[in-house]
This record gives sequence, C-alpha cells and structure tokens, in this order.
Amino acid sequence: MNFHLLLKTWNVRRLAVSALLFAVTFNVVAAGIEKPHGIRDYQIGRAPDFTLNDLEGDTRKLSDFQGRWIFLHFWASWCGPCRLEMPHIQKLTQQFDADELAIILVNTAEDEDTVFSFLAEMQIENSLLDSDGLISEAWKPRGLPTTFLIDPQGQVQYQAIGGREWSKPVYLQFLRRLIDGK
Amino acid sequence: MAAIKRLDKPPALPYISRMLRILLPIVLTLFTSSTPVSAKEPVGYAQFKFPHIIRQDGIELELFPRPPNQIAAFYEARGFPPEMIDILKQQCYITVRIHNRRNDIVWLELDNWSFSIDGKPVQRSDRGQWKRRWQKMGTALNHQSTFRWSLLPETLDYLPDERESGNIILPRRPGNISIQASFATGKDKQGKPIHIHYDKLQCAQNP
Repeated sequence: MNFHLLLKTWNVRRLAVSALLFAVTFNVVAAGIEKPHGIRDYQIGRAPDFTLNDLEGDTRKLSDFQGRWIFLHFWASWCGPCRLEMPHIQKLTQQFDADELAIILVNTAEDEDTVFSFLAEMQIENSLLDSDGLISEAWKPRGLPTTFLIDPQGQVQYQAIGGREWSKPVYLQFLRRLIDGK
Repeated sequence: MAAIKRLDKPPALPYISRMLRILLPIVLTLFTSSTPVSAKEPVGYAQFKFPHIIRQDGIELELFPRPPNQIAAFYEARGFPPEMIDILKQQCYITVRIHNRRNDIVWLELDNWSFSIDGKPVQRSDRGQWKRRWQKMGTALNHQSTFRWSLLPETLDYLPDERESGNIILPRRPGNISIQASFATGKDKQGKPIHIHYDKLQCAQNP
C-alpha cells in the first residue's frame, strides 16, 4: 500500500474512532441521566432557528444562545397550566446562571401589554413575543405550555410534557446534571 | 391601657366558631339544594354545571359543555373581534380533557370520533374548516393562532400519564349528544383499541 493512501486511511480511521467515541460518550451521558416524570427524549435534530423581538424591543435569535443548554418554553397567559408553571420558572431563573442555562420564554400570539402585565405579576423580566403565533406552531409543541431542552451543540434533546414544577429538587438536579454533563 | 383593651375583647376563636355554626348550615343548604331549572330554559340544552367524567380502560375522558357567554368572554379577553365572537357564540363548545392513565400510548385521532344529536349524525368543525373560514374573513394571524391553540389536537399520542385538553366544536342544536370516541393503543397502534360511548351530553346554555 502506498504511503499516502495509508496515511489517508489512518486519518479516516482516526476520525471515525473519534466520532464513535464522541457518540458513545454523549449517548452514555444522555442515557445515564435519569429523566424526571414528564420529561421525554425528543431527539429531533437541530433546533429550528428563529428570530423574535423581546419585550424590550430587542431582536433575539435562538442560535445566538448556542454553546450552553437552552430551556425553550412556549406559553400563553390564558393557559391555566402555564400560569401554574410560571412561578417555578421564575425560581429556576434564580438557580442557574444565564451562561450555563439560557431560559428563553416565547409567548404565543398575545399582545405586548398582556405579556408585560402577566410577567410583572410573576416577577419575570422578559419574554420573546411570537406575535402571530407562527414560530410556536412551527415548533409543534404538544400543547401549551411546552418546554424543549436544547444541548450546547444546538440539538433538541428533551421535551417536557405539560406544566412541570421546575423548582422541585428532582428537576433542578436533572438540569444541573445536564449542564455538568454527568 | 391598650393591653387591657385588647384583653377585654372577646377571644377571636369562639366568636369565629359561633359564626361558623350559624353560617355553615345556611351556606351548605344554599349550595347543596338542587338548582331549580329556569322556566326560560330551552328544551334540549343543559345548564352549565360540572364536567362529565368517563373512566374506561385506563382513559379518563372529561367532557365539559361550555355556554356561549363563557366562550365569548374567553375570546373577548384575548381581543378577538366581534365578528369572530358572533360566530363562535353560535357553536356548541365542548372542552375535552383526556388523561392517559395506562402504561402504554393512547392515540387521539379525532377522525375516529363520531357525533350525533338525537340520533342524527353531526359533523365536528375541524381545524382546516376553521382556518379557511378565518382566512376568508381576513382574521388577524394572532387570533387565528390563539383559536387553534384552544382546540383539541386532531391527532396526539398520549404518553403514559399525559393529560392534554382542548375544545371540540359541534353545530349548536338542542337534543342529546352522543359521542363515540375510538382510541388506538400501543406504540405502533397495534394494541387493543378502546371505544368509549357517551350519550348524556347536551350543548350548554347560558345560566
């Protein structure tokens, strides 16, 4: 076998072994993290990107948050379970630094005033506004509320079914383990 | 002096207890006595009361007919225009909540549900029909979206212990509504299907 071909084969092999090791490591990590009640695997691939304005009028792009775990939450103030869940999310914002877990709220099809007054009541500072509801529908949540957990590489990994008590230790520990990769 | 004054006051607990003894029977009598049926109540419509709950084969199905005023109030609060509200008030709204208490997947496929009123088949208005209607009226996208979120999904795989709800919309007519709801089960829908029949329902009228 000629030397160049050998080197090429060697590099391809090395690449393949690295990819395999990465995949095995990631899967072991993912499989090793026990999911709390109401969280399901949801590996649909890369998170569909979107750009929306927030309550401050600033434009935000989902992919700008890549590099850390993203907690992407679709909600509306008229939905009962959303109202119950929001205080837990408020507590969640106090538990994690923004650079380790990006908590992104997306309000579905409500006007700014409604969102502002509801969030003020909940002591939450900001939310993205999906004013026409099209982004929310494109993400196909099972219903409202729905939360997706996106890994630092931008891959959707989990979906939370319905409202969850995120401030309970079982969910906090789950999120902590995801962030720490343990 | 102030301390003495406070001591002179009758202790709060016995006072509350006495009041409760007087008020409780009155309150209980008011709430447990059967509500008289209004003389104006049209025949074939139900009073807005409590949900109908059917439990069968590990599925909990809750059916809650909603009166037009409640529907109108909900959508008005979301800023829906009067022309939408007028249309929605003329429908028979039933809020459906499904809770899968089984250990396997239960499939909601509304195409597999059938409805009749006093034995005559009626068609549910599906998302596609509503979408066309709203689009024809030039309804704002945000209202279309909120409206869609308020409907029961056309299809959904209910995971174990999952609960989701939404409305189904039937033509508003007097009479007994009969619902035949069929659910496939199992990951690949190969499990034993579940058929739930319920016919003690009526469209709700305003109280």
